[in-house]
Amino acid sequence: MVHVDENSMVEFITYLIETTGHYTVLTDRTIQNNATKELVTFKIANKSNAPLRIFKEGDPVQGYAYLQPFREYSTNSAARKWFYDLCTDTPLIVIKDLMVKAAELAASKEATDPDALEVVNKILDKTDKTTADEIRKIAISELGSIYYNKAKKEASFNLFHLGPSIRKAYPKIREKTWDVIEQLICSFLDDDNLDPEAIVSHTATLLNIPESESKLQVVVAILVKLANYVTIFLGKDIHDKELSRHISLLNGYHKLQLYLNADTSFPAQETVVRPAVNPILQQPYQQNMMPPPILQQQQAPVRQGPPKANKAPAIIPRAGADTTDFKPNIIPPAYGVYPGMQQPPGVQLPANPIQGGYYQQPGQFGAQGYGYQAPTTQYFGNQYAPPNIYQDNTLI
Amino acid sequence: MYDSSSVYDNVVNRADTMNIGAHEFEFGAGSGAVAKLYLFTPRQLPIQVLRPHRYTFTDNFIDSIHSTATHMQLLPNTFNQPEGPVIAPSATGIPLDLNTINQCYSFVLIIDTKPNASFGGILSSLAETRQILIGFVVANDEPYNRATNTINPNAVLNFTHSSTIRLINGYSSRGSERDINISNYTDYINEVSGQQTQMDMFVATPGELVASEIGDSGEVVDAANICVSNIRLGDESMSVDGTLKSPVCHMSKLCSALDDAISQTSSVDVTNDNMGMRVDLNPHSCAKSFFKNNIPNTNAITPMQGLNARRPITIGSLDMMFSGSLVVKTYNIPCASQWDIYPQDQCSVKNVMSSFASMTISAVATSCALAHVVFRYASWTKNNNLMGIPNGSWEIMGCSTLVDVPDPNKQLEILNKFKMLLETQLFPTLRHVQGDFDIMCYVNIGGEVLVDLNFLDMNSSYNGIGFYETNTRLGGMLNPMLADSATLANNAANINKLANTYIDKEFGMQLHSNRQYAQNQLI
Repeated sequence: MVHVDENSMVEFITYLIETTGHYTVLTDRTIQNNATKELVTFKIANKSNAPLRIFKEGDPVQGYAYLQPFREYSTNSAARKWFYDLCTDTPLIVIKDLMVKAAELAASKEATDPDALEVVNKILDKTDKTTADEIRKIAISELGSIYYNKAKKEASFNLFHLGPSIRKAYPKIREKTWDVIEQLICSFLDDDNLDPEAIVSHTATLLNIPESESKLQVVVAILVKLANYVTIFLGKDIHDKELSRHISLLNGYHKLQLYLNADTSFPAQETVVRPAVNPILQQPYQQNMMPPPILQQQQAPVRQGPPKANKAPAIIPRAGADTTDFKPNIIPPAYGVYPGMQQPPGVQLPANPIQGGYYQQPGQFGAQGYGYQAPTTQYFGNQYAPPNIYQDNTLI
Repeated sequence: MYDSSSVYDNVVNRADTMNIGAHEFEFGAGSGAVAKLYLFTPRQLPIQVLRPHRYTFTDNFIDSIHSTATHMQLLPNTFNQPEGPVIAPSATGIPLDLNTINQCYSFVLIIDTKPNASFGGILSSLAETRQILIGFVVANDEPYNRATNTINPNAVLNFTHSSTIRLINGYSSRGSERDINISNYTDYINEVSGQQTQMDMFVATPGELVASEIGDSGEVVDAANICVSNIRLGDESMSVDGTLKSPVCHMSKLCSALDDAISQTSSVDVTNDNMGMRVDLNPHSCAKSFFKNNIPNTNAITPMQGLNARRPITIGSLDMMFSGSLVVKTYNIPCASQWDIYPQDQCSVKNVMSSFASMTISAVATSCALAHVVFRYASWTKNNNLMGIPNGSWEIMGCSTLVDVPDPNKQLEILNKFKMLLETQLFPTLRHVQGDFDIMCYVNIGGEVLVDLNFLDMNSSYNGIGFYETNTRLGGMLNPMLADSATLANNAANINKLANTYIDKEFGMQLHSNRQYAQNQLI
């Protein structure tokens, strides 16, 4: 049963991270790269490589780069960017794995499962031993992307396999392999006439986390479509039913950590594209705009002043030998008596205008309660009353 | 006994250039100045986590403040957006290494001055000024020798906080009365603040975060000039307005600065003729520049006369400054907490909101001229009034004022103001975050701040464990304007987004920022 609680939220994030099989969430909620067996790390304020950890309330304040994916800020942290890059790549990785497996089955003609045969039969005549290798060569970023339109607050899944640019990028891939790819994608996404511009799209309804919501909705929708084929071809469970339940609780997960800003990793670097021509000077930008004399001046060594004397000036009498010459007007304290307990001499405190005591008197704390014995009585009342130095009328 | 020789050397380096033989003090203060120095024995503070305040200025929030008529007092329901308070402490924070500070004596220095007789005609209504300076004593030896009853004149007072109270004699329909004016409430940040952690910390006051008027990016490119570890030895401390510790007060200042910037930009003097020449100024650029000038920065106003709290001073110099009339009192305080402490080094809502509460209450108490206050407030106890407004229940268990206030009505007035400010600036946020709550608090502006905050809907394992303890003597070291680099980047992006969006709403959307504007003007 899925509830809106932190354990459930961690489970949701774990499913999203582990779907591709490239990463594993360990029991302490840190994330391990399965290829290198090393923890995923990010730079935080005082540490260059802090392990990434899914955040839960009660975690220590330091030592980890926390992942808090269901909050959006004005800046995008590196950890958050890593998570959403992984999420949006996940459907493409799964589709590519499925295509490779289907091509291998078609080439080897070893498929026996009737559901698998239904797909494999469609590509049987166009597949040979090199088809799978050709599909492996295609980068997932060339295959498609999940694009977020900030103005419309809409995320959409786009595939590029029909476009001419991708085919030009891979001239060695045969035309019939492209036909196989198209056929397989149509089969896996259960649609014979795919619109490659936007296969699945979602417009945000949660306006506090529009980008997170729309991207995750699209990711989960595609994974749900692929789930059966993943079971048939890859023999894995990508928890489609659980993902569907979790995504319906996204608003609850967002509110769960609404008041805890724990995203400690550095902001993701934004790349600013500069135009080729300076619009003011109407000249191309140069590598270094500073004239040479300024640079030369900057490179000149900085003159250091003489070091300061690391001691107090001699006019101040020193403790020890000089102390006898130094006679400040000191009123020694009374030992053993905490001064806050003392009434300033000659001061008549005004009448107590407020129930419960206005001016502090020893033992008066918490006298007028409402059925609640204030623990401050024992702390503040007798043992450690503040020194009432501000009421010392002898000063003015 | 002390392992603070390096700190001493650093601090005395700043002391020896100023404040020694500062004769201008006597000139300004007249002969009636009295100084009392209260020394407190070292005290082991529990783990202190500095939680920088983090901005979350959403589009909805900017819309709501833009549509409000006046922002001099930000309303709680505007401050508390559905996404949470727009300014809130960071959950993670920076643990401070207070080993050195824990071995130091702390002090409260109170200087009372009367107006100079020669200024009597002008300043006859001015009664007295009381300057309260708080900090730590840095010395290679103990500042006070119990055996000989003498003080160590070489001990250096390093200031972390100062408050100035001015009393004004007034005559009104109520008769003659004394008004209390808090003219200065400042935290000091110096190289000692940077030594409490290995992490790079930045002074992220709003004025340092707003980008210059030209430019369209909120990213911080270089923050070296506000990095605390880059403070040169011998420099004056940076002064930060202490009222910024209250997030609502902080946000109110930003809102009113935005309002002022818009009205200044719209004034005829700026946009029309100037000395017979037409000046084509970009309203966006002007407004942002005015906004930057109007918001608090690292150069908060400090008292103009008397002691310069931006620099340390030795006790010996202080005594000479007051011509031998310095009074020193030493107190033995418990060397460690005598109550259960709730650990601050956990990321929890209780810790975050306790930090929020302790910062707000200490700022509010000082603004009400309260020296210490102990109270309990329960939001779940409703008053049975006809309007049915859910008021909570107060129990004031004790308080005292920074100066003697003999009039009982005035005392009640102060206390009511304190209650009103907390009901505006703190309790709505606590209630908004986690529902009904019960808070008990002890604040001493020259010492401990203890907060016991229990939310009724929270898991019982978080409740009733102990106090969130902090200390106002840390002053600038624990000021939430100190931020790590991640918070700095977040706050810079947010405050620039706030300014740019607000100004765009007022003057219309600017096409491709100022670069396009400059291009249009020049070509």
